[in-house]
Amino acid sequence: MGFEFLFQADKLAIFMASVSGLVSILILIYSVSYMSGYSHKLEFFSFISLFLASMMGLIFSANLLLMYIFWEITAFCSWRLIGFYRGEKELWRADKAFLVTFFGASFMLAGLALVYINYGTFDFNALKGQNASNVIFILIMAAIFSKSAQLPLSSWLPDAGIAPTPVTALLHAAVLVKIGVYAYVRIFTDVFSVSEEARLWFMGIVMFSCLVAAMCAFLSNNIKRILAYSTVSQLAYIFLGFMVNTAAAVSAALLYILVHSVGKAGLFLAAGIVEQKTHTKDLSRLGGLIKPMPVVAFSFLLCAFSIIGLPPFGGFFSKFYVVFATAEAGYRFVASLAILTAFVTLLYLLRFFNHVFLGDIKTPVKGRVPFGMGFVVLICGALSLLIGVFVKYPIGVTDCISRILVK
Amino acid sequence: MNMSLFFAIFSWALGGLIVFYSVFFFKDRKRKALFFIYAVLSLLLASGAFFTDNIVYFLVFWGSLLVLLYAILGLHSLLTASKALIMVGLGDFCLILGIVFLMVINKDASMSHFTPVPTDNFFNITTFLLIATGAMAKAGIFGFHNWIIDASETNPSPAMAFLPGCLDKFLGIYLLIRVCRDFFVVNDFLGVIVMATGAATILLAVLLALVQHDFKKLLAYHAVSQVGYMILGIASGTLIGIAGGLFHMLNHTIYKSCLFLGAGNVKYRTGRTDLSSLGGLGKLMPVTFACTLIASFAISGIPPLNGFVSKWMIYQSLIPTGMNWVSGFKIAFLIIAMFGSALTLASFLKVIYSVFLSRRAKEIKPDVKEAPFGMLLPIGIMGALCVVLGVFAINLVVKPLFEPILGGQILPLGFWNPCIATWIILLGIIFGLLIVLIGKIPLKKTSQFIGGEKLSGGNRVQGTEFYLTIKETAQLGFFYAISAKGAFNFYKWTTAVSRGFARFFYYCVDRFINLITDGLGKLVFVISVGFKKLHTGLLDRYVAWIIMGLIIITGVLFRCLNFMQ
Repeated sequence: MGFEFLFQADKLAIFMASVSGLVSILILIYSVSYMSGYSHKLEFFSFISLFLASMMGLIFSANLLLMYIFWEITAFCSWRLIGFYRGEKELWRADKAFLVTFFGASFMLAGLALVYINYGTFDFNALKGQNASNVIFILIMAAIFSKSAQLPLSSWLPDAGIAPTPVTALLHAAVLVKIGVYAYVRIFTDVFSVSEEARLWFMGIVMFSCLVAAMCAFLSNNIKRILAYSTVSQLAYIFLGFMVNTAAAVSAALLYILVHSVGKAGLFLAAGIVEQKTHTKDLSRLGGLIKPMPVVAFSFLLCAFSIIGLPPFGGFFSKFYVVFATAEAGYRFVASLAILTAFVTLLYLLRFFNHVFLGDIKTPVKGRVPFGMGFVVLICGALSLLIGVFVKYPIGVTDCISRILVK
Repeated sequence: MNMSLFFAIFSWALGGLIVFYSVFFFKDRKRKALFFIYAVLSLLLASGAFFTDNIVYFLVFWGSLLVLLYAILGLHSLLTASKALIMVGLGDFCLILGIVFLMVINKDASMSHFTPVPTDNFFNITTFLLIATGAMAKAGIFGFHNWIIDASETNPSPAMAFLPGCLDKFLGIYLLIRVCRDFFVVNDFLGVIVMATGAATILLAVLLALVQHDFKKLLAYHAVSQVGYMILGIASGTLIGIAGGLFHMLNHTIYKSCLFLGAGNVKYRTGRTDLSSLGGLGKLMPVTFACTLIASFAISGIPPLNGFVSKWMIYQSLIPTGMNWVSGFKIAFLIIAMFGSALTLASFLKVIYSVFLSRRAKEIKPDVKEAPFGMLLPIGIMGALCVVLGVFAINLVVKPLFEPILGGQILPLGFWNPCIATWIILLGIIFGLLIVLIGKIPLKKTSQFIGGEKLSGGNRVQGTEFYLTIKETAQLGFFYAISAKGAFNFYKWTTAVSRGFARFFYYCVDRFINLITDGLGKLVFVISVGFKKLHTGLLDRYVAWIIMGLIIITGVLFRCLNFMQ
């Protein structure tokens, strides 16, 4: 029937679990020294653990209903984690994040009901190869877009930057937003097949939100907002890859998940160090930080190059193959938009770097960067480079997965 | 000999000379090891780009060089480096898109399997323009040039000679030749567009070079201007034009490196590059003077030096053979190219005068010494190459190198015999010296002639001032005025346009959606006000709710029971 408490571990799930596990471990190591000053850090650690556990549950769940239950547990955890600081603004932003994601998830619930009415089961294996009607697709996509923050349900993500940095890194970069992506590839690439027309419409929405978010990042003055908008923009590439739905595109999008998780985590964690040491998030009040924290600046640059998509960093290969697969499938205009957005990415990440790390010091730095935090950021930077240099191995893995997913 | 080998050999040879020079130049600097690591890495990656057959690998090598460009420039100024990254990055992203399209057209990634694609539909034309833009942006055409000018102010001469002077030109021209010959069949219209870009580059950059006051900055503008000749030759589509473009690229890297390194010598000994505060260095630094003089004549295209030969070949490719609409354009470009050459000579006369010939400036101490031998050797070699490649151009370069590379006979028409001319020039110089030495004729000193103006007392005449009048001429005044306002600062334009679009999207889309989301969220809270009042947290209220609920449920149950009975 598909109501069983049943898990499955296929290659896709294992890949996703290893990627999010890797980044989560890095972020947790970082958070040990980041959170050491707060009195109610126990709340943080317990909710992070619950969050990660439910994430793993979601990845391995073998039916739609189980997936939905874990989906809501992650939403609940992120609600408490975003509202970690108890100010008025923080609580409202946390509520907003919860409301928006729940708004989407309620559509998903309706979609699940339709699935059950049409096919009589929630089990992925039983549903495999069925055609999903456009209504089901749209209903479930609402949930996916709200979780992965695509337009028009994206506005909670930039606002959620109010949370402690490990949380934002975990939510924005590595894990939470990837849930939506994972749900997409699991439900609509692996299990159901979707009409091309519907995919095309959503491809349009995704590319639009890609460009808009990148532009917003270019204009924003808050360091965490810039990175949050950047996440929205980069996730669109992953969706693009999956929506093109050829073997090459899916493989590229999976590689993109890995590259983006590592790179964006590095950027957020570097921004977190900047925020904690200067107590400001305002771009216009920061500057010259390359002197007091050279390692952070260097690692930031490595991660940024990867996110921009410059060779030989990992981001280049994932972006190039996504764009190539898109153009190869005949969507040339979409491919051009994707490259245009890549250029805007270059603009805003360099603007971020130049404002924060170059020029004169405007806000003095208090204390040294703790070893644990600087080290983790450096690892993220080094991984971004290494993934690119030894791109053969991750591509081998993702190719192997995509051959199973796309026949 | 194929093209890849040619490019690789000469990039290593010239790059090696510059690196050798930098060993002495950077002797006392900190963090110099990084420069050498980056330089050698750049040469390796460039060789990779020249030799690879897979176009994705080519892109990886090419793009990695952009990151290295950022790293090398970043050793001295990260701000300039980021400007370079943005401008060249714009070109690189165009190139990536173009190569993606090209792979889609050819359904292959191997360059040797590519057949020249006709440029007859919109998609192919776009692809050609994208790749050509990427190539020309790397070579540093006008429009993508701002970072070169900025870098000349913030970065030392060897870095300038190495990157925009040498390596970037090699890469850009290599790709441009491949695009025009191996990837596409360029139609007349596109050819004219690319040639027009080249011609505009020649003219605009040289006009701006004319009024510069800084030695390195002036050289940087010429580094931009000379690219125009190469593009002009390659885009003409004739064999001799491509050979000329290739030869001009080689010559350019030789004399431009020589000039940059000469400027480096001057800076090394005097600590300045400002033309108005230099002067009289000809006697103090004779070897540097001689090499710079030769290189200056070479860049201005004076026979029998190498710059003349390559320019001559390019001019020849522009002389139309038949009469059609293209020939009119070609003649116009030919005139622009020749005019640009004359202006180049004019601006280098200013350099030679201001730095080496004019009366010594107060700021220069009389005990300035010639640069150390290790720094003279590279520019000596380059200066000698300027002469050798010019005099023996046909037999040493064009026939043995370019004919096998391009696969065809190249016949420079109406070419004079430079060997005889060189002998005559040399004999003339030797005779002159002999007459002076043997005849013991005293060298006569005359007062300077400055356009007939009478000068008061011992005023030093500055070369830079003399050229200021150009700025004030009516026709060009407008050009310099808008240039001073930043009309040609395309970096600024790019960011300004992006910012404008960003504003539009931010306020019209993002903020709008945010407003709606916030409104809906607040609505939820408004609706829930009533329910909130029920939850006071007091025990007696909850007990009251429980009892009320029980009563209702019991009532409902009784009703149901009644129904069943």
